[in-house]
Amino acid sequence: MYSEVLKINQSCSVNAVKVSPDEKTFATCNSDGIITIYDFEGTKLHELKGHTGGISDIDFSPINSNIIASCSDDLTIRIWSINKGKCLRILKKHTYHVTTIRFNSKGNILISGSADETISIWDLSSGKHLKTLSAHSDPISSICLTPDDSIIVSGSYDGLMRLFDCESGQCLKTLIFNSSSFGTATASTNEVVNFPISHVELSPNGKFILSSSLDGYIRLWDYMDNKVIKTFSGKDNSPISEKFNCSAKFIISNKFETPVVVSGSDKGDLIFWDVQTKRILNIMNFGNEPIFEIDTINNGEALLICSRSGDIRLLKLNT
Amino acid sequence: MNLSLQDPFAVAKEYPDSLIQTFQYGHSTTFQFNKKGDYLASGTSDGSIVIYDLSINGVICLMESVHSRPITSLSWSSCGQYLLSTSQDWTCKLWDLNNCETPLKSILCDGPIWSGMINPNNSQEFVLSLFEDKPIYYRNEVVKLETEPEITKHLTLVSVFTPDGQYIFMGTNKGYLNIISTKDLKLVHSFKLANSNIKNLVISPNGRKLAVNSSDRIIRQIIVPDLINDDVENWEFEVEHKYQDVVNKLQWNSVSFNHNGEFLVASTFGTQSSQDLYIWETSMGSLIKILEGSSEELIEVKWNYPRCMIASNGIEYGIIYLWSVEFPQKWSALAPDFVEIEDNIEYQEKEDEFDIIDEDLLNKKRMEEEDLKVDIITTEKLDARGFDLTSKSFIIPINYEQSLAN
Repeated sequence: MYSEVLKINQSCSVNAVKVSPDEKTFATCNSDGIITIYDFEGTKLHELKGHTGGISDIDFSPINSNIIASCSDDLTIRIWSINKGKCLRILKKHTYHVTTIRFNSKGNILISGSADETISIWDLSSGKHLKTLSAHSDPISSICLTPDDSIIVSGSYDGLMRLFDCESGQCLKTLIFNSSSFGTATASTNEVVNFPISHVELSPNGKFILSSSLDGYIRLWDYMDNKVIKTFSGKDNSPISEKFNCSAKFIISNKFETPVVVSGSDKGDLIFWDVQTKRILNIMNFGNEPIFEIDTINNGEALLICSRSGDIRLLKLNT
Repeated sequence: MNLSLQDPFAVAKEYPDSLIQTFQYGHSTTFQFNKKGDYLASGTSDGSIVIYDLSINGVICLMESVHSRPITSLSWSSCGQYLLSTSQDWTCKLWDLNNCETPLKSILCDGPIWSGMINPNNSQEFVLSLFEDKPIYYRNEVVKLETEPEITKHLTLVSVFTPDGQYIFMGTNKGYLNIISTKDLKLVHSFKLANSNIKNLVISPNGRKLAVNSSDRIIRQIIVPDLINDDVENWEFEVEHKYQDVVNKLQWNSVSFNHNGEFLVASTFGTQSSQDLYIWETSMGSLIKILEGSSEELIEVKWNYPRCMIASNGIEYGIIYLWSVEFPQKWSALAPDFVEIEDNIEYQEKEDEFDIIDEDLLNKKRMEEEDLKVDIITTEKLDARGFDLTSKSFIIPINYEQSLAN
């Protein structure tokens, strides 16, 4: 269904790829601490240097395609002006690697998750730190926000997903999956192991959470009901990713009859599922290194993927 | 979407109960919420405009000394992109919040301006009430409104649009209410309500109720007739309730309705007597709540509908006080296998609680339950309080290169 139209290689692991809100450029970040901005011809437009450690995640400001934020193993978060090639602001608070960041839809709040087990909320109009949410007991792997910016969903290696009220910082709900219970958590005292959550993503309407877990499955949660409503697995029920944080995304395109879930695997596969039937629609292989991140362009007309081998690929939907 | 996960009893509350926040950037003389309720614009005594973002409780936009005298009123356009400021410096300015450097329009009047309001239907038209002068309507050019030509020295003190933008209600210093059609800017109706100044006119957002605050210390609550379908001759403005403080004979500074006109809130005049807000239930006219917590006399009072919040500014220090509903933290939210209970209960073990169920059977059952169709695209149209979520509201762009002092 998709075919490769562009391939760029960076010499080290590319940890995230993001399309700018105006969809004219895209940005990547790598383990050497460099952010690179490309156009869709593959031409390198800008390079942003300053981090002294590998960069785990980047996010464009949704209101300004010239502004990008990055978070790094050097404990800092930086806000960059792409045109000026300059770091505008450095946000320091975390005491260990910063693993994930997200802007809210108004672009005035940045939320960061860290291996120091906390989530921080930053006000970008003043540059001030607003709140720390410390409710997890292992590194935060991933965060996302509902479309109305009111709920932060966090996934952590402690196996929990927590929902926080973005304004008050209160924990609204906790979701745990363990195999012996039925969707909801009942066992916390016995030796049930909760597998780390490696990625969380909200459905376009904000009512469902797509969670990737290191037990190798991707699950779709109805969080109002505390229930898993769909489980996605690899070919012949094999695990999707047991070692790496491979992100999953929804593709809503009128080219497909139903919504599609796409995820990278730790074996270099890109797997597409039909959301309703949970059937695998397609598997594409790109070597044997894990595919870390996927971003969709123009309602799934094209996809960008990046992998640990340093390859960045642009895939176009076949008509 | 956070509201649907909160305690439904707290979400269902119709009026605020506790002071949650104060804003004190400059001395606020007037303030206004935008329609979506996520921003609060405040005008200060030194002529600056400060816009707070309520999701961070901090300043998001600062327009310093855009007027040379205190700001007397602020009005948002329905879309949230435009803001009208009026001032004692004889000017009013219309701002496009995309670019706060220079006003879109700046109009110099012949005197200080009491207040201004943007037409809810058209963000480029507005009405102004002037000090000792005729009110002005701006539609491509300044139009002086003729209200009541027979009576001299009949001055319009307040003018407000109906929520649909079809008519303007104007209150005068002789207690008259004049109604002007926005189509042709002609007077269509005029009647006497009181013998003294009309200080405030407030129409409930659903257009059914009108509150008139006048210098005779009475707030008159009036049922608004069907202005669209009824003929002008048949319009009847019936006074439904009169609110007054019979003991202390207090003046009311300002009034505001909630979104459906079921509640009315007012601030009181005088420093010693009271620094509280009074909330009445409008069908019976009974006092149901007094909001306390300010340390100064309160002037303006405004209701933020989607957030169930009431704000009021103080006369002495110019602080803006915000009352809202507080949500208690549910500790069971952190540990889903715990339940919050009020009293000790003797636990009855369920019949199947410690049964060992075969994993494969469980998985099979689980997979069968997953066959339901799921809609991941359709968004909710209303929030948990019943407010519309579909209309888009303007987002004020922030400048990442400079920090605002909060």
